[in-house]
Amino acid sequence: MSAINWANIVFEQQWMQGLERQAKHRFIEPVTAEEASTFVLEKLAEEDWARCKTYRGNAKPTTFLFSLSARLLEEFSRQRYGRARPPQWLEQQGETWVRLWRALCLERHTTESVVARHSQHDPGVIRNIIRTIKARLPWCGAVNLPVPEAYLGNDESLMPATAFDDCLEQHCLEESLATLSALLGDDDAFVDVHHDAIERARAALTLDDESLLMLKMHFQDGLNFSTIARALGVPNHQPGRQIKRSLQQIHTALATAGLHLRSAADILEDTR
Amino acid sequence: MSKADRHSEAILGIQLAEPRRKATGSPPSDEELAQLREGSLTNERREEVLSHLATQPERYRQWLDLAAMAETPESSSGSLLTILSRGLNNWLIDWRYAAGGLASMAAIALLLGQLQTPPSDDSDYLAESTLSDMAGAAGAPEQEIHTAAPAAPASQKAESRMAMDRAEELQSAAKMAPPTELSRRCIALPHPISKRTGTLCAVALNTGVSSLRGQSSNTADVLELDDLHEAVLELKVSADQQWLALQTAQAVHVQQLKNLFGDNTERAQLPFNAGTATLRWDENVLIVSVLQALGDSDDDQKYRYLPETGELIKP
Repeated sequence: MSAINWANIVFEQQWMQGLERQAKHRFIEPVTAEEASTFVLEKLAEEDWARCKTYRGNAKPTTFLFSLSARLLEEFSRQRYGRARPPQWLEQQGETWVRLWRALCLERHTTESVVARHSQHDPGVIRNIIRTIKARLPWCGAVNLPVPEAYLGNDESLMPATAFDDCLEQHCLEESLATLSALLGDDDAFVDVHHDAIERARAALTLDDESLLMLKMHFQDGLNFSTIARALGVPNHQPGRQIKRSLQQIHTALATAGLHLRSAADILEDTR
Repeated sequence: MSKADRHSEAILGIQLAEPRRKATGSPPSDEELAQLREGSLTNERREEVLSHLATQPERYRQWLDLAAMAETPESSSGSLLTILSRGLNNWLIDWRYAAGGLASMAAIALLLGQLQTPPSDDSDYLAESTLSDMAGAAGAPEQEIHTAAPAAPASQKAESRMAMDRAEELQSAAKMAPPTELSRRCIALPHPISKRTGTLCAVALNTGVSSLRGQSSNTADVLELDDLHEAVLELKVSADQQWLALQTAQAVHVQQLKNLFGDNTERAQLPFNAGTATLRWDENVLIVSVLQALGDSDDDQKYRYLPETGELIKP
């Protein structure tokens, strides 16, 4: 693989644009995004492109470089803002929540600037999420309060999510319900939901890893089916069909547990 | 079942299915994540890699970053948060009902106010957004080409040739297609000369340009006013409706409205980036509040810009 000229690939315009686009997407401040891109380029080129020499020739060099760069963007973030990790309940809400958490709690941008930088989304929704994060993490964004120990990981960190103190397995869903209660502004919203109903639904639901990832990518991270297909290396038609099947499985599992979601339209009718 | 209901169930399903999963095999290398995208892993290894992505949020995020970097800007979409929020809202409502804990109709009405998705037929639920339709249209012929075996009969070869021709047509059509609108910000604004009521909009296009457009309330005609080479985040008009301030990620632009509508593109540019600066007009003075310390402190520094004289007064 020594024949590959990594510098040529990295400094090719399209590749650079991909890196810069993602850095801008990830870090709110344009200057920080620029620093992050520079950091990635420096690290890639370090010691005569040593990182690139782990390449075994199994993937395309450009895709391999994007994979390395994604890891380096994370490394930049850790060097700049420490190794804080989002709490499990927040991580479960998807990448948008994590991005907002990072901007508010680690990079410590103001609410207004974060809302402004997410202008492609509904500002009301972004504000609701921000309000929820701040309500549940009072230290978030406060200059005089450090990031609590509980959120600082010691390890490079690929340990399973269940290792978090705040993610004892049986409490994960309750955490999410509490988050959603906060979003609603009503702490008592879910007090009557029985734990065994949740457990019954959980037991009845068997989703394979690929189906779960497709659901997360589509419903939590906002990716369309074509993008999901490309990311997973599957035919374009597959994510749509597979997600549809997964939704049927979820519906059946909820019904088995006696949990029926009413349609918003029905409720609207009831309130008229 | 409505589209919003499906979203609600999907979110709940994810919450139910995520815990108690175990990763198998060794963690994926950077190259294996790239291979996953390219479809070049063995089935067995692919399942192991997926099990790590499904259980390890940081690996999942690295992979999402990789996927985003490898995408072209035109093919990506970031609008699902709105749909997600509709799903969340609907889920909240549904759970409240399921629990018999509905406390306030007013809260529901508020949430339903945000829930703008009309119920749709199951049959069209899985139709993708306009953006993905475009991507799918371009991708479909490519798929046909891949499935055409080298030793296919003449009829299949002809079909394959037609598919390739169609792909080329689509590609050239895509290149010639007019720019796509990504978002728009509008304010009510009477025409500065005729005084007719109307709106001024900054329309962000996929070309990276924002197009400023004026429209009178009683005509459908749109007046193309000017372009900015950045997305406009905020539009603010001075109290006497003489001046317009436009905030982009990198700068603040101030322009006299009669110039904008009079085909004079002269405008002042102030070096405040949107990450730290917020704008408001105090009569005809533009106040730019710049965050000095990290966090939510109130110790912003307030710059005053006088558009008449072009003077920027420091705090």
